[in-house]
Amino acid sequence: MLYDLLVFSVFTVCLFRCTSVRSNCDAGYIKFMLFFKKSFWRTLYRAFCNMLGNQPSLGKYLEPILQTLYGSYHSELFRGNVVALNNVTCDMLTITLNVPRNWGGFEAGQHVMLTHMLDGKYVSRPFSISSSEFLWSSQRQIQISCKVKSNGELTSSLNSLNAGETLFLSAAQGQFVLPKRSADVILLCAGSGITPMRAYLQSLADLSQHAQLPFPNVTLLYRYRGAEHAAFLTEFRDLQETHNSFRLIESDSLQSQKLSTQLTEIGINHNDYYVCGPLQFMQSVITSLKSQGIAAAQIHQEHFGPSLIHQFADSTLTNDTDPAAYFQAGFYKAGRQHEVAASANASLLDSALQGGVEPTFGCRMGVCFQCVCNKLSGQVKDLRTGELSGLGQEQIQLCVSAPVSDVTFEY
Amino acid sequence: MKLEQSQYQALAADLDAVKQGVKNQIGAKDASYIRKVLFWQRISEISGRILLVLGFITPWLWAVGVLLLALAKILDNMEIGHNVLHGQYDWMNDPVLHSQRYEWDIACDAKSWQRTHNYEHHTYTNIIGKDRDFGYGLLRLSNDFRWRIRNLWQTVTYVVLSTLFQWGISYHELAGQRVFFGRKNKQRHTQISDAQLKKAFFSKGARQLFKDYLFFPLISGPMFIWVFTGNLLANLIRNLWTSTVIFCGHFTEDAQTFSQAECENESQGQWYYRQMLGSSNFTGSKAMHILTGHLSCQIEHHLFPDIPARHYPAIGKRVQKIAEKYAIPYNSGSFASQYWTVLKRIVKYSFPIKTPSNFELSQKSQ
Repeated sequence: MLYDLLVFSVFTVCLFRCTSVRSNCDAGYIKFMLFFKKSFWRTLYRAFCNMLGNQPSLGKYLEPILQTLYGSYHSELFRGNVVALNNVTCDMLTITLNVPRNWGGFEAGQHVMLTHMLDGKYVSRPFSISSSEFLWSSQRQIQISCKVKSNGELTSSLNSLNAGETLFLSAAQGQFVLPKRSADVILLCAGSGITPMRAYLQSLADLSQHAQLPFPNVTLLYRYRGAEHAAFLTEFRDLQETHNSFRLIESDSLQSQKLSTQLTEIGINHNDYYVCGPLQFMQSVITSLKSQGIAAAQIHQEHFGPSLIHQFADSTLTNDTDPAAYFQAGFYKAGRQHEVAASANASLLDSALQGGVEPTFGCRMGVCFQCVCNKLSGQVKDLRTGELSGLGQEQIQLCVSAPVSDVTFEY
Repeated sequence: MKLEQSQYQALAADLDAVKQGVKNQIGAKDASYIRKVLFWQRISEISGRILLVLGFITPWLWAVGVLLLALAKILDNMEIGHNVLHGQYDWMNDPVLHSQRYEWDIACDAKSWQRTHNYEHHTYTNIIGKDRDFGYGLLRLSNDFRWRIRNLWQTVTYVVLSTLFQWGISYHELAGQRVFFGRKNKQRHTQISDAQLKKAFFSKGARQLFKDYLFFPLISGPMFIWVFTGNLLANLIRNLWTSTVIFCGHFTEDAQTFSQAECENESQGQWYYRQMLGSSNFTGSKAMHILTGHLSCQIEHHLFPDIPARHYPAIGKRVQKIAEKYAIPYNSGSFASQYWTVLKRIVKYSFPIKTPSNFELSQKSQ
């Protein structure tokens, strides 16, 4: 570390010299310099905190004290206080959260990682924000809507939340951002894929109400299984009545409404398409759009949500007895990905080593914990106990885990 | 005194049942327990460092500061660091308590320690030639080792090792002997290069030295020498304590050793069996268990290294019953008596006499 400090100080002296010589340089260069200085101080601060308390920041070092004094505290995540819980359908729950100002806001379509402490364990899942951007900017509140699954590790516990309890939030994230205002778009969604669309439509409605902006031409195709599973349906029907430019196409799979005929009904145009929903729905919509000659650049899709992964896992779990089952395992390291075919009956460590990936490992029997990796998605099985892992992000030991679905890891 | 193949299977089943029973209980209580320990570690570290500086009011404050800082370091190394690095709290998904991210207040780099201790020592416990932790390459503790002249003064070596234990561990875990002085072998397949090992050794060591002997003494200004000595003493207390506890875990008189041939193609039951014979416990109060990081229950720790340590004393009773059932010796005693046998063993094997161990004597009498 001392050596690092020395190199850094020499480096900065050189850089300061450079700036004084090239005093009238372009804006990009100055920006680069500022970034460098900022990251330099950040690195220095980290090194300092690591030296003092073996933690990357002062907040992390003091976390155990603050947690003991103030109950729920987290140095990296934001605290969301539960304001209200509403059942929007028989199996979908909307949680309204009070979020601190420094959370930083979001754009309609983005999602957050929701973290809840369950029996001493932090459980995290991604959820789309389903409320208007206006609710955040005016009242510092956001809503999250999630499908409650009785076997879902996190969602099953959300039902028993009380007002005033704390959930932890990440900053808003995701590239699935709906267009700014005036653009005309077509939204295609199914099931819980409605949540980012609702955030967008609510934001548009609020804008036209509070800022007197015209409502753009938006078409929403909403596929659901029976009206009792369709969240926010009355809201959208009302919206259609107040705004002529909004068109709602309801698609009830129980009433044998064909998705393909409804898709052709919308007609081909040069608008952008936003697709979100379970895997099967996404696949059939995207193939049908492509067959109609719509360019891939026009189609935006959101790939996340427990429902998506879960369906995936369910379909493969039935193949569990098949000894020849192979899954794709993606290993990420510093942004580079290696794809490996992983047998359902071999440990992921063996599959990785065979495929040329070399994660750190030791005992190969689950004792030494050197091969612990961050699982990003997918589900695995503990080879010792047959126990299934969760579906979201979590830490697993490669040497005693076999895949039961396609999986991705950071190692 | 070997068990039958079927007995090994039954032993594995019994111990697996114990393990599963405890695993089902793991939850919020363990989380709040380890957070409480972390809380007291932080409090004693911060207050200890402040009291060291307040020594100018009365030296007594300084003395309390030394003890508090030593306590903080012991808690950090034993109950928190050692157990967290074993992955006992990985299930919490908390980055502060995760085995891949934890770094401790000791000269040894956590990653190097994980590689050597968790893997070599825990997988090949007390197998001569595989478990380098047996005698740390310095002490002759069984007849499996050839006697050398230097073993004559190994009692002194042991005392020196104890006082410098954190550096001994740091050097040992990186396989210093090989990395610094060994022959270069191009065929050897290692995941971590020697250069990386050396870098980890020096950067972590330098960081610790900088913190305790430069940074904190310097910012306390005129109290430089007081803080410097205080930190030195706190490190010394921690070194002596950890080395004593660890020696009681594997080097008591009746802790057994194994040959490589014996352990080839071991079953899970045989592995459990070896872990029980190679480790030893000592009894004590709850505070004692916490200060040793529950290494007072070394047998349970070796059987189930990834179960949160606070369960070990309770598991111990069930393990002892299982040991009785299969007539496996369960090596336990008071702290003083166990430590006495460690000292006896160190002295005994410093002489070139092939003294049979108690275990071998009992074998012969049967």
